[in-house]
Amino acid sequence: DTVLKKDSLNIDALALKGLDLLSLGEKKDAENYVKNAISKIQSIGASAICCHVLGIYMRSTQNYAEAIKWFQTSLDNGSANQQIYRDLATLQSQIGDFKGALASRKTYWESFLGYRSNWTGLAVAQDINGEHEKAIDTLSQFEKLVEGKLGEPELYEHNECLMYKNDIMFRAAGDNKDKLHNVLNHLNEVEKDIFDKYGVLDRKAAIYHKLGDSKLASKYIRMLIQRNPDDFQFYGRLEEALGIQNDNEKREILYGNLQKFYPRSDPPKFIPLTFIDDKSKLEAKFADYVIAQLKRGVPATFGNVKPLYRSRSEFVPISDKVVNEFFQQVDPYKDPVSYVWTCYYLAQHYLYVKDFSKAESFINKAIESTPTLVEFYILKGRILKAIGKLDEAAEWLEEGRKLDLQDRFINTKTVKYLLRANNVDKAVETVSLFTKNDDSVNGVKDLHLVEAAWFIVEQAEAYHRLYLESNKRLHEKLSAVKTQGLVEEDVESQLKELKQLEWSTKKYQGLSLKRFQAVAKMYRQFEDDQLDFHSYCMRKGTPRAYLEMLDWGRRIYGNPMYVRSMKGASQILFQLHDESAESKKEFDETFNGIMKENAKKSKKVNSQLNKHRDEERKACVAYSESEDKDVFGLELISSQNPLEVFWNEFYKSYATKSSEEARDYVLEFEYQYRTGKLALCLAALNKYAKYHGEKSGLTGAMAITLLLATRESEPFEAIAQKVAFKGCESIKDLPVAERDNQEFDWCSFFTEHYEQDLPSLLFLYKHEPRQGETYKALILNQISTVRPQHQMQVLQYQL
Amino acid sequence: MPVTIRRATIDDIICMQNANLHNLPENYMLKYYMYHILSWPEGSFVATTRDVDEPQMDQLSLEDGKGQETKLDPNYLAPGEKLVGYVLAKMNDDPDQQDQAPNGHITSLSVMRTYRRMGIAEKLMRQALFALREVYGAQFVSLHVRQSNRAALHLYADTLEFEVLSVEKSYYQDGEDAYAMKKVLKLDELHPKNFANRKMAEKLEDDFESDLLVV
Repeated sequence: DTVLKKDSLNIDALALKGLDLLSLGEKKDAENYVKNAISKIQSIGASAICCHVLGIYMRSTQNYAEAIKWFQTSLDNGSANQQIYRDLATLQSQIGDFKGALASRKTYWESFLGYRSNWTGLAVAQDINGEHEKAIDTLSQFEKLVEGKLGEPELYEHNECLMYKNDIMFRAAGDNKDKLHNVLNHLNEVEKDIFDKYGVLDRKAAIYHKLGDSKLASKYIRMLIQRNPDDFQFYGRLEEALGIQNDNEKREILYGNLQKFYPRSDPPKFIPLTFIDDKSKLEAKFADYVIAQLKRGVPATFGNVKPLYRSRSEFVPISDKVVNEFFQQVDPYKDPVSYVWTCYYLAQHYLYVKDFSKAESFINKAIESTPTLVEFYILKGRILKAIGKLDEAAEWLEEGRKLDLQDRFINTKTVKYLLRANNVDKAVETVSLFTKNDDSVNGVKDLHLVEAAWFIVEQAEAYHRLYLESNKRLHEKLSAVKTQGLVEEDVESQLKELKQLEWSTKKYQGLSLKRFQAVAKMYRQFEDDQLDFHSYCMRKGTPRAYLEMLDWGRRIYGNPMYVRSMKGASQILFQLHDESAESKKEFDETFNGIMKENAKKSKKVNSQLNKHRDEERKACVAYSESEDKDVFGLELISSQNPLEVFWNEFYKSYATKSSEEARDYVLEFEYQYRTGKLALCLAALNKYAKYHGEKSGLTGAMAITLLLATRESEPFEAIAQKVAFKGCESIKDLPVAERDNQEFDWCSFFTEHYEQDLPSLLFLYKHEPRQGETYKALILNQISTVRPQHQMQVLQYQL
Repeated sequence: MPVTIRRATIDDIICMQNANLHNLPENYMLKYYMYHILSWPEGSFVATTRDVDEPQMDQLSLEDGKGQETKLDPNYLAPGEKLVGYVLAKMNDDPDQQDQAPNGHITSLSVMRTYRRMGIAEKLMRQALFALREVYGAQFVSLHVRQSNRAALHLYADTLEFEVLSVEKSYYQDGEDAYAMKKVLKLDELHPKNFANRKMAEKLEDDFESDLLVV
């Protein structure tokens, strides 16, 4: 400040003041100082220190690319501060510039050869850039330097680095036998210094397997099983090593023997159920497996065998027979444990086969016999949910919750069911019993703080359903008023209803998007959380875990909850995009017209409704209000460019950081269709067909939609239409010649050539309004095959 | 496949955090899980189940990839793979306690309610204790447990033979007291093979040489 008083143009001081203000939380002021400093630099240049300060500022504001630029400029301008290279390497790694990171690590390493972390960092950077030999060399050099000089606290780091070197060697060896022998020799040499014995055994088993030495491979896998007989993965590898994957007789003997060694472990008992063919033997094995668990009262017994229902359908009748027979013998009074858990099992069995009334009768028996077990209430709720009775389901969960108020699991389940029933207020009240509500009227803010994605997404979806309902009612009411006028003696309450509906519609839509966005923010935080670990892991000596982190970071936006939020947001943002300006204008005119006509009463109603606004607001606060003023998400939904919001807030990250095979190409199509990039639609369609098949319903639905979008009358760019049409010509069976034939029955073409399913019919229903009614009829026909719960969802929210 | 117990990796942490939020009142931000996994990568374990058989390599290239999609549910890690329990463990790295022998700490342990009574918590703990001793040289391990949590107390005190060190008043946010518990770790005793059989008399061990393919 003193310098600035004397010389208000001192760039160094301006930059420093900016950084200082940032650390005090004065973000806006800080930004002004920094902007001021930068604008002056452009004309007169800057000192190395000033650039360094700006780099630190940019890093603190998550502007990593800019931070790199300033750090680099600082070095170019003669900074002798070698620490900058380490910071550079960290930032370059964070944004995925590994080439740059290698150069920075190398320079830093040259300046500080005395620290192991710098050698490890260099080796990791070399490894990432494919310089395996150099990486190995770097690690070896350091090992030589410290031979015999390591103290106790350094031994763990040493062990990790040794194992890391073996990792690189193993990866580089591929299937080359000579190289694999080298890897093995190295491993034997260092084994005494390695603490991760599991890692050593695992590596040896893998090497011997690759070398074709099945005897030794199986020996090491047996050692792994001895350490952890509960990992299924080892058993498959053991079969493979023994070469008996296709010999069921031998497999049976194998598991018989392993069962003797590991009677407390599941795999030796379970795996035979996946391959035994002889029906009576299979039945007996199944009975052994299931009934022992039922007698012990294992809640997950059904869950344990459910995979068998899917992979081998013969288990459905077997299970039915075996468990019902057991049930007949159980005396509910002498052996209540077996009795109730068998009821619980059978209820799940009948739920699986969609015999809902039997499912309900069995769970009722269980509750009658032991009304104190929470699990039974959860299942009762699940059955009711499946038949579409969402309110009743939530009530049963609530009954269960009351039995064990200390248990957060049942609290969580209850909240989820309340949200599914669109009972947001009760859900928030219930969930808040376990949250920290110090500076808030409920737990919503805390749940954002602790990154409780499950709640935020469920709440977002509930808000979205409430929006759809409220929007529908609003339009119905408005058109009624428009045609019939307001009923004379009741004007005020009708205005109030209209106003209230209009507000709810906006509020629910905004809140829904706001919550989806919260999850997206959370994942950006997760991505950012990696920052500190680029140098931390080198110091801690955990390069193997570090490389796994990088890999995780590259796929982070493919995580289920991120995808679910993004899809939820796409529904809202795509709808905002699709709504035509005319229909919006027409709505506003009608609505405002009515309010204007009754201006006096409307004003009164307004003030009545506004009274509650503050309370509503408090209940929805998710972030501290100094940082976020848009509590209801109203700004978010009033964006002029919803597609841009979708890209910036959700899709950009997903398109670059999720695994390609698992990507949602229907969503990609939907997005690009709206941006008008038909060539990218074509690419999405081809990818989808590659992973899901040419006959898949959605393949057909997208192909038809794309072809019809290439008609001249459609509002897409002509060149893009031509490219897409060219692509359509190579789609098997697609009758491109019929494109301009207004009479052509695309619906019949679709049903004849593709697998009809709900998602594809709904897709066409939305995109091909010309045959909307025909698709609707097909949808109504199709939904009879799904659970009542899903039927209702389609009827209520999709048609 | 039913429950598998395996070492936790960074790919598990989002689901671990979710399980923690479902089951326990003490919650942590994801970075704290990252810190555990990246500092002590061999110390934490998870229990998962699979809806479908392990995907075979040749299945991955199948044209119709349906069924390989991950369910959009917070418990799911990968196609068909669901997390049902975890133990999050660390070494004591408190700079004020550097004079102590290396020792471990159990930060958090939980199993989804619907997967109880299968011994999952015990198996997770046995793996973690063994790893803390074997990999990190922990001489003892400590943990805190709510006074009212009888099931956990039974597991630690009776099954795993922890001893109660002290009662820490109002240890938890809601004011409840905690038992501070401790167990001295001895490598030979901790090997999971010692617990493969319940009854000592029937103990039978794999010698790795016997032919597994004869009756």
